[in-house]
Amino acid sequence: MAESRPLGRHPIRIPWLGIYFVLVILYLFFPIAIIALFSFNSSPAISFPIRGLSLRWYREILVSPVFLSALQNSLIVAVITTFICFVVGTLAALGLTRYNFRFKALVQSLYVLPVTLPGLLLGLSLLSFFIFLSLKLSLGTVVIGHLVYTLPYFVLVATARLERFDRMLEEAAQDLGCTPWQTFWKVDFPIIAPSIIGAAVIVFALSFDEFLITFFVIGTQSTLPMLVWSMMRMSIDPRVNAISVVLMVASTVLIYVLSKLVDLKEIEL
Amino acid sequence: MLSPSLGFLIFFFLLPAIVFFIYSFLVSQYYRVEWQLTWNNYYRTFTTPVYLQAMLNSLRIGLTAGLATTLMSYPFAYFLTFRLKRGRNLVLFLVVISLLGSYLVRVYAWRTILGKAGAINSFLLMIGVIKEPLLFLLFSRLAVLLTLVHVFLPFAILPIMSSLQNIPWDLVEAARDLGCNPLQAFLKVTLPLSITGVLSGFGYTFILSAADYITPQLVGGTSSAMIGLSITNQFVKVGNMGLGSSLSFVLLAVLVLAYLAIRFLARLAKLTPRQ
Repeated sequence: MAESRPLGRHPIRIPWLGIYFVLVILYLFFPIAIIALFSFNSSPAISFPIRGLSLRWYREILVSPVFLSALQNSLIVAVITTFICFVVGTLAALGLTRYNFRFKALVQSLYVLPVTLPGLLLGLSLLSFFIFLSLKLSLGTVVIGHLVYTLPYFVLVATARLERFDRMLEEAAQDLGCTPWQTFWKVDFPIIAPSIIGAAVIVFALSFDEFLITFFVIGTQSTLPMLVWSMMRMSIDPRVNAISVVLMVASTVLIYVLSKLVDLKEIEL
Repeated sequence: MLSPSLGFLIFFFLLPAIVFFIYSFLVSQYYRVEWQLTWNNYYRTFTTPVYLQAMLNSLRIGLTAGLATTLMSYPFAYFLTFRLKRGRNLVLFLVVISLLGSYLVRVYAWRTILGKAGAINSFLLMIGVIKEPLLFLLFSRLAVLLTLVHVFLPFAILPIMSSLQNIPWDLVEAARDLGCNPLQAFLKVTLPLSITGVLSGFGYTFILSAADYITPQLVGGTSSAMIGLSITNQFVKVGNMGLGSSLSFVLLAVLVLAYLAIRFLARLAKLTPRQ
């Protein structure tokens, strides 16, 4: 549809809309740019004027055991969360798009609800549950906390893609003599692969950055966002800026990978 | 095929929600609950002025932030969808980065920017515009709103954009052919056809803002105390989980009712298209 649109009679023209557009982008990125700038500041103050640039804070975090173990924990949690989402979520998406069963609408709403609820309520209800079970908080409970909202998210994204899938292709493959497994691997999988891998990348990014739920369900260990939280609460610590940049670079790289896999226009919430 | 994920959600979403709800009717102190039924948590929720004020603040700040975010996002999404010719993918890339990345970092950024010795004050002092640092920047309602809108903008931009993309352009053309001027065509065709995106964008940003417990802690002052923080404190500092739970469920009810009321108003205003 976008191609057939004649240029002349297009939408209402508002002068300044372009300037407004640029201002919103600046608003979105100005704070991040400030943090990135001060992460290279040679003095510990987070204020102007900047007297010199250095990599001092990055060197300090790279040898800090607290940072390295938080990074390791974040990676462990994100990898496990993503792996479980990928396997369990793909199965669920296939099941939801292929079969009709009783209470399907009810079941589907169970996959929508966790995504729309605020992290505060999800985190606290899990915390209550873990206290009820007398379960010790650990990285394992963090993985559960992340899965509660990334798994439904993954299923929603994958289902949206599968619903647009042309089932005639499967019939054609079977007419040509493919077994169901062959059909899946040769027809379905190559078509759905980019979007489910894309969904997995999103899950990884969400998990790596998750804070609102993690805050309630983590034990004595730490993840990167938890480390940022504890450090910035204590004092002005310029190393927080460097860690923040590490977190932002990680999500930028992930979104870049995502943009190669799927059309970013299709990202749903 | 569904059973692993369904089992997980029943066990770790549905069951915890039920336990959490039951807690609101139980006596609790020192981080423990006793299996003794009580209405006291709800009684305290509705009669303690501090909680009522915080609930009201959350509702007000959530509605303001949600409205501001949605109003800011619409022209942005409109421009991005219809007017931007080059660089659309780059902008989309930037929006998605802000959607998925660095929630905490971005809240923290505003704290350092608005602070007494922060980037704005030190910059203004450096260029000589001010002699004394501006203290009203941080720990104010304005700071909370500025941060919330910043953090949640992508949550409104993307749904609005996706509903704008799906508008069949022939309909707008038809309206123009039938004599509508561009503004009328926008009000009668484009806006009603994108209202689903507007409502879901507003829904997300309103709920996320109203239930945020980090932003009011980091950049808010005493006048902008929000209920999310009171709830968190019941679990983390006070240890009265029953009260924390009743506050949570009242908050949830307030959020759902407010959102439904907004949808109802949109229908009254005939903004939603008839099926």
